[in-house]
Amino acid sequence: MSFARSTNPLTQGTILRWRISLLWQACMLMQTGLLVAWTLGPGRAQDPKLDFFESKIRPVLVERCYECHSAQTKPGELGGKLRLDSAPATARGGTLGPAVLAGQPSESLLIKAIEYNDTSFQMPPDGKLSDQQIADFKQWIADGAVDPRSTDTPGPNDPAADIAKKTASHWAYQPLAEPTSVPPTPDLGPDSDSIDRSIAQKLSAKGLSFSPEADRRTLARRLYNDLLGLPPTFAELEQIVQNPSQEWYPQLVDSLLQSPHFGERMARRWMDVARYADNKGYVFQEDREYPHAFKYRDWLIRSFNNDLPYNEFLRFQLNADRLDPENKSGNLDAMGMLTLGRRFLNNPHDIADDRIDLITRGLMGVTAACARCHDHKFDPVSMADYYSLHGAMLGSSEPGGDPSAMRMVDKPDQGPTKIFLRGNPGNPGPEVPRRFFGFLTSYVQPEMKTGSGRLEMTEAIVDPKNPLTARVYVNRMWGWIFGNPLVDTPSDFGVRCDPPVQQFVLDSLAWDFIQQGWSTKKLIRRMVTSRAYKQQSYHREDAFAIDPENRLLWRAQRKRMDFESLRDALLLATGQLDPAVGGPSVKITEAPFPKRRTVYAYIDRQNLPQLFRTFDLASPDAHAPLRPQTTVPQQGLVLMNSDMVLSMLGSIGQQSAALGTDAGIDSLFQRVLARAPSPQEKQWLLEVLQASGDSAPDLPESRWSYATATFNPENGTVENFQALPRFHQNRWQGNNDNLPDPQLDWAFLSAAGGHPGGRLDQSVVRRWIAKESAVLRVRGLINHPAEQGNGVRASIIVRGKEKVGQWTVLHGSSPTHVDDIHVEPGDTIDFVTDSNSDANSDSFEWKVRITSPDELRSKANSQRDFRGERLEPLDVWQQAAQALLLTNEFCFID
Amino acid sequence: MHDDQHTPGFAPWSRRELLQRSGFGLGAIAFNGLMQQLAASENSPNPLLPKAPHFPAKAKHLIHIFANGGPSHIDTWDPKPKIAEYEGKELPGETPRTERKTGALYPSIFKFKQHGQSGLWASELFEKTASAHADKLCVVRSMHADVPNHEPSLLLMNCGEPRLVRPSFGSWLTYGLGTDNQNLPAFIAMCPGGYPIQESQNWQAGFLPGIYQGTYIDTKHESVEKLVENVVNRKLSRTAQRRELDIIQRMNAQHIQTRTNDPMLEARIQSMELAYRMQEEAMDVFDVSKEPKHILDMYGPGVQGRQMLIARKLIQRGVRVVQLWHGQGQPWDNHDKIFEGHKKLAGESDQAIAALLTDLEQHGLLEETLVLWGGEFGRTPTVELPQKGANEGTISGRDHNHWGFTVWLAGGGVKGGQAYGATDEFGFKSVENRVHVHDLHATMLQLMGFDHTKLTYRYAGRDFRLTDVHGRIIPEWIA
Repeated sequence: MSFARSTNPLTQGTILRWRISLLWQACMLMQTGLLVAWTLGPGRAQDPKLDFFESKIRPVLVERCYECHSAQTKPGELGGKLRLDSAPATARGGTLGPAVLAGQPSESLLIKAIEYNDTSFQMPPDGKLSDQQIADFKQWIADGAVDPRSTDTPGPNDPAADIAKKTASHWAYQPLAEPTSVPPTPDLGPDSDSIDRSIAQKLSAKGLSFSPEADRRTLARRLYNDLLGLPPTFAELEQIVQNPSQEWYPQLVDSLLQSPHFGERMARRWMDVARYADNKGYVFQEDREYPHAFKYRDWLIRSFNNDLPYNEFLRFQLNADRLDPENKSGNLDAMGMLTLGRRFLNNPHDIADDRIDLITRGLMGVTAACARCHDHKFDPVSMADYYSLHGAMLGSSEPGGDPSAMRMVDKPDQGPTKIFLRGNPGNPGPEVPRRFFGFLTSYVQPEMKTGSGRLEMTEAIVDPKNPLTARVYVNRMWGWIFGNPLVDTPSDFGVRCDPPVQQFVLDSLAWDFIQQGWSTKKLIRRMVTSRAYKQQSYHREDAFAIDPENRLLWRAQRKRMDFESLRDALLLATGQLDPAVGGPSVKITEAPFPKRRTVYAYIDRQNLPQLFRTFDLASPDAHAPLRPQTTVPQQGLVLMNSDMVLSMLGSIGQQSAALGTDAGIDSLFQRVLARAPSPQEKQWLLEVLQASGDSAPDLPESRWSYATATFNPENGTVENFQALPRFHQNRWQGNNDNLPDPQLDWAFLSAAGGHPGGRLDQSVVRRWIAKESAVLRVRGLINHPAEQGNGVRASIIVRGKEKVGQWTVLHGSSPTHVDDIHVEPGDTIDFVTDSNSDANSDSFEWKVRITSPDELRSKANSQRDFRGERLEPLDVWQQAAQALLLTNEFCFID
Repeated sequence: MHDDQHTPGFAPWSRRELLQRSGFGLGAIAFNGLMQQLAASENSPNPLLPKAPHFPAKAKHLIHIFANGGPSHIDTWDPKPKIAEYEGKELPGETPRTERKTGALYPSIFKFKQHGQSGLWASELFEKTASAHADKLCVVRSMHADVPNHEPSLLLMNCGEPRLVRPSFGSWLTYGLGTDNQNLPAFIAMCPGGYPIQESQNWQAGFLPGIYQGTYIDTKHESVEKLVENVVNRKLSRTAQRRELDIIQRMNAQHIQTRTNDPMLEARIQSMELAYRMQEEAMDVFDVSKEPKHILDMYGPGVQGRQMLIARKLIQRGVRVVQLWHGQGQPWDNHDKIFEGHKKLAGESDQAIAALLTDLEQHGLLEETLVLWGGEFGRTPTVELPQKGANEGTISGRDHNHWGFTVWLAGGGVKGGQAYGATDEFGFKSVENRVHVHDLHATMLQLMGFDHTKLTYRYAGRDFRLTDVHGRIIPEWIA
């Protein structure tokens, strides 16, 4: 994906004109038979109708229409393929048919356009004609549209013909064929893979060659990342390095392909394709959740682990209602791919559009969404193609409930397939037969006639003769494994997509993929055992000068761990990872920060937590071809400061410390970087380990405390001051999670207020301690919002015994202002609330500010200063661990 | 305090800065090599570095004050004395369709007055803003949108498309311009108490990379650590953090020695330093408690004053886009008791808006900051008929009105002191110099230095833009 700003080759005007041309075309479909012959006659200046044309019509045509509708218009900018500069050209009309129906002004599209009544269909685009001019045009047509311009102007370049020509020769639309053999090169040997030979040939043509093969550690780490999304442990690496077998590498590949974590890695990648989320996006009233979405995700994991052939994999996701109607094999859940999209306030056409987009871009690299409103401008996708799929989607319903919440079935009655003009459902156009993409009909069976047609659509997609499906999947897989796909636009293989430099590799892998029974694991095995994959990733000046983008594959791509791998690796290194496979989604951004793999993260489509977007997770709003790769400081903030990451450092510090300094450092390096430290590195870590006393956070020291006390409302004494023992859900309270607490009853204090216990010895006290001598003011407001109960009593007590203010509030509020409070260092000001002898409905809000006498300087603010438990600072071993976890070495894969 | 200096934009480390900041000066590392590499990397993967627009423009920042819910134009900026003449009578002709049924014409109770040299009309609801700034405002009275419902209208106003997933205005701007301050998010959306309707979709990045999405801040909170995610390490002091970071950077310098020419590695080294610096910057900018009393007094009490003051501080530090929502849900949506409702809402925000404009001007920021005020639509001049469950059964409110409404622009290259366009004599429909939301967007992009037809992003085989295939620039607004 490019971040560069691309320049739209079209001006606004041409887009408008072009859009209208397409409308014209659609209208033509409806108007067959309505064509009225153009009235032509020899020019006779005496004819008042001709005079009328010359004086009223021609000047306007020349001035306002010719720019875009005449022979002088640049090819490609000719609006609607319509020329208005000769009578015959006007008679032919544009792609939408005749602009003028002689004698029928109100039926003539020209009039509709210039009347400006339909906001989507207004000509000329730069401003409406005057009322008089419009009236003139109407009169001219009513009078027979007499037009002396009888010399025909040449027909325009026909974009449709242009598209057809390009389609016929476009590389991605050519059938796959058995690859030609490539001769071995001296350094590759007779057993080498033809894809390596092809790459080597291209390299050598530029005087280049592969980089040397990477060492075992690097290769193992790379394989683990690409196949499992987890780093190898130190012990695993040692085992690999010491494996005496010549066959260590294929053995490792096979064992990783057998790991249950393989399916997790692949599933998460497919979830980008399938715009997976655990909820619907914005809704009005209904339940937003997709509570069963995880079953689709788990189906993906199982399918990848079982190496379900890709054609079957797609069949289930598109058509499982026929293959496993009772969900006996759990395959009905595969339909989550279609049904777990955004719900667009339940607009059926937008829902269908989202699914069509997923099917076309995601599975075949066809961009069809444009054809919702008009024929595709570059690719051979017509509105009829689009509305065939639309019909298949609208012809399916989601009955829900048993046997799977994500099931889709064909509706018993299939309505006609209609084109919506300009994509507007309120403006249905002609009925079209439900057929698969016209440009693929020479390869696949086009009819979609069983039920909704979803069955035939599916079969056309997975047909071995479909030139796109395998190519698109193989290209995605190459990108996932190698870091960059062979085709830069993995979801757009349309005619504007140039053949990739490594087209031989793509095509022969795709061919072989189908021959090998659509096996994902075989495909991956072939990729990762290639010479191209096993190279080093180091920069080479000579090669970089020739091929800076590494299209020729002279080195491996260094990769930054994606978000999932990074979080999983952090958990693994800190010994916290829960390796369980499958199950409901968990909210990884919320305490207590579940330790499951990131593939199990709950994905909130509507309000995706900032964390995910910060780390470039694919947006779940629509099918995602590629993830962007950004490097921004917010990522650093998460790693440095987030509770999620800090919560991972729990035990690693202690465990390392227990080993003693030297062995502890060794252990940290082994766990985090899977290697031993150098003496220099040990020295560095010692600087952290030997630091002392300054690790506690710089948060301002709190001068507030939160307690219960025995309060005497009459004389104002505060005794038996006991700090509230537990901080839970943003409030200080008794030890029980749920109130009332057996000892402290309902007593709690939060930032804004609290609740007293029932007895006077359960009064709640917010205490502030003075640091210096001062004269102070208190400004505050107590509020008792409940409509029941007898209210609460609020008292301000200085030095634990001097009552300086007292208020009782019931179903309302009262200011709590006190002036001229003299304090010395260490003196207390207590804000005491008691239940007024009845603890029912005693929730209160009480915010106070303590200020200087002129109120200019705020000394304290009960709400702003409110803090929960002071967390234990990270110990030095945890700091050392965090340092290693944040290094580039940890998060990049050579 | 950094108040009086414009925080400089991102610059790669100087070597001295690197030495100072990361304590590298121990001789063990090949600094020269590292620094040469860092200097050589031009195609940094940080997409937020400042970029030039298509052509030079005055406006470099945007503040969008979003009166969400639909403020009534005929009670604020678009006086319609004719309504009073027809009080209690039906609207002559057919009443345009809105969300709910409305009845007779319902005059405003608020007094309108002319302000400034320009004699711009405003009601007493925005007396403070109008009296201090009338000559800076370009009040657009002829806005119209597509439908009378909140959800699509919010998306239209923010993303230029009522239903489908598209990037927001702020995301487009951030994509086009990057940001001047790498220590703060580029695009910040503030809404006290929770999300508005349609939630974070209002500041979504859509198909643009996620980094262009608005960062949401719940300004209900006063403490900085609650306002900004991960800006405070609750378990570590700055000193200890710096020590940790020094180890990280030494390890990184060692690591990159053999891995030359990799902009991703370099960028991550720099981003860690930026993250460290961001902590301080964010703590400072979101804390208004240390502002001088006369500034706090100027903005007034309450959350509107606080968030507008934060907005000024953010703009001053180079943040690209700030969106200020009135509050959670749809506060301006007064289907009933509109006069009480609007009085309260305007009362909460008028002083703060006036203060923001004054404050920006005093800091020399107004000329480089485009300010937009408005809602997703306006309200009907006819009274909403009582309906159980929809309003409180009273006859005291106005329905949504997308046929005609008002927004105003100020600052950044805007020609002030004018009312542009007009609604009909009752204020129902925009009739003169009609401005669609797409036109507003096109003109705002123009003011920010972009040809709206050329600020595009290739997605799904097509070059998308904020204004889709629409948008017309209104030259009269441009100074």
